Amino acid sequence: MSLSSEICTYLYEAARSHNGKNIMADFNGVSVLIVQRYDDADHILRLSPAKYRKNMAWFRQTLGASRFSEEGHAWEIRRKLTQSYFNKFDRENAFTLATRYANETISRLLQQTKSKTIDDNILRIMTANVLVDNFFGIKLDETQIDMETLAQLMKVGSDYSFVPMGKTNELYRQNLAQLPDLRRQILSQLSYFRQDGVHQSPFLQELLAADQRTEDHILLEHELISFLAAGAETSAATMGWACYLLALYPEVQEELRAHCLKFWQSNQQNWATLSSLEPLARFISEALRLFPPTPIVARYALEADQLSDVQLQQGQNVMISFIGIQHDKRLRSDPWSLNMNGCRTEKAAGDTMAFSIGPRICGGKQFALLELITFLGVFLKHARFELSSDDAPEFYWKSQMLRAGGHPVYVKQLT
Amino acid sequence: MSNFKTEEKISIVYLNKAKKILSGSLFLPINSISDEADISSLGELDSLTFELIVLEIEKSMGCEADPIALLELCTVKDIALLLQENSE
Repeated sequence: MSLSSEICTYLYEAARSHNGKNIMADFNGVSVLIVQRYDDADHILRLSPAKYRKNMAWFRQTLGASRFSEEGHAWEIRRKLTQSYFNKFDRENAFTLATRYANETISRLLQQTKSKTIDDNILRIMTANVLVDNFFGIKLDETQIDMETLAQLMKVGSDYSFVPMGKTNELYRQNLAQLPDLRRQILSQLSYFRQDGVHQSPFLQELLAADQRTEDHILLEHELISFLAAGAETSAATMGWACYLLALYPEVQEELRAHCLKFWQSNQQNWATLSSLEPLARFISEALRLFPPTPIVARYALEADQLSDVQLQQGQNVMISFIGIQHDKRLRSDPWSLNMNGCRTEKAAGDTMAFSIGPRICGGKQFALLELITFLGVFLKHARFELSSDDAPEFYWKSQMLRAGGHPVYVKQLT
Repeated sequence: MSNFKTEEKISIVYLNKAKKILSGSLFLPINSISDEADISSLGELDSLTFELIVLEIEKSMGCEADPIALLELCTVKDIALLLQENSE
């Protein structure tokens, strides 16, 4: 087992054993401060971001330089390149696409009658379909993208993420040996977007133009990987956890289904109406709080700093644990259970904290929330989710937090 | 500038192998790598990239490479020539 595969379990244990407290950890000989307090995360991520560098060197090294990994000017030009598309997308069109692909997906899941687990890849294809169709006006099927290859690349990259520089060993060497082949496969698949005759949405046109400006060192394929990893993989991971929570809380599932059926029977089947259904948004927020798909963000202290309970030295590695922060007992009485009665202003809610805060907030947050609520609405219209096992989750991490072995959930046709 | 005797005839097969190695190691589309390119001009060379280039060269040759020869690799042609010489 590599440290990266155990990190989520470690963070959940830390959230229980040192609830509401920051802790110093040692990862492969490297001292890392695990931040579990909301006020300190707020200080690092939102109030004093200039004091902390985003520490995503591993992501850059394995998956290429992109908006997700870069800092300073390199980040700024990438953010300008893509953010307007993430802010100004057509909500109703995205709702229509999310509805269509969720319908296809739930049909596929319902066909797997003998399956005791939900296939992550089916969810991954759903979210990638919506993303690619919405921002590129291209059907995923028409491209050569194999989401399993991307998932494998991210797994190998994640396994590398906890290796301090210069401390690679034979295990990591074997792991790394897979990287070039995976990269070549992905590059070959993504070459579709460079082909003559491929529909060029304004978004793709801008990415291609940026790729041609050599001074910016922007590579189309690297941006696409980051786009798919951040945009499709995280939403797919969240939907997996959402299905698990539906099965774990059947009474909540029934209550949500009643809202959904009313919506689908109405003549107002649009995003404006669906987005006003508070319980659906609340459930998604709770799924993101209990099981944040991106459970950590890494920072590096550029100067000495004082946090609530620790004095940081310059050069200190810092890991913000959304798991720790979102399970802080000081912020909610029972942080380990689904709570459908929270209020909009609560601190460290899933629909705020899990997307990070401050200038490096997830650029696709609004798109993600829209599609997640829509997926949920469609899934509940057609299917019932039941646990196939009462076992507690075993986690594994490959840039997203997933459940080892898949979510133990039967997907059954509503009768 | 190549450290190898690049006037020697390099087979297109080994040039393509060298470009394939660099594509996977530097994570660049193979079409963006020219026959004449310096490795350092293609992208950022960090410890991981160098390790991957070595792993890929040794995998292609089926044996460990001479460390000195590896340190002298500067161009696409250098890699192609190293692969070619070790196949002969």
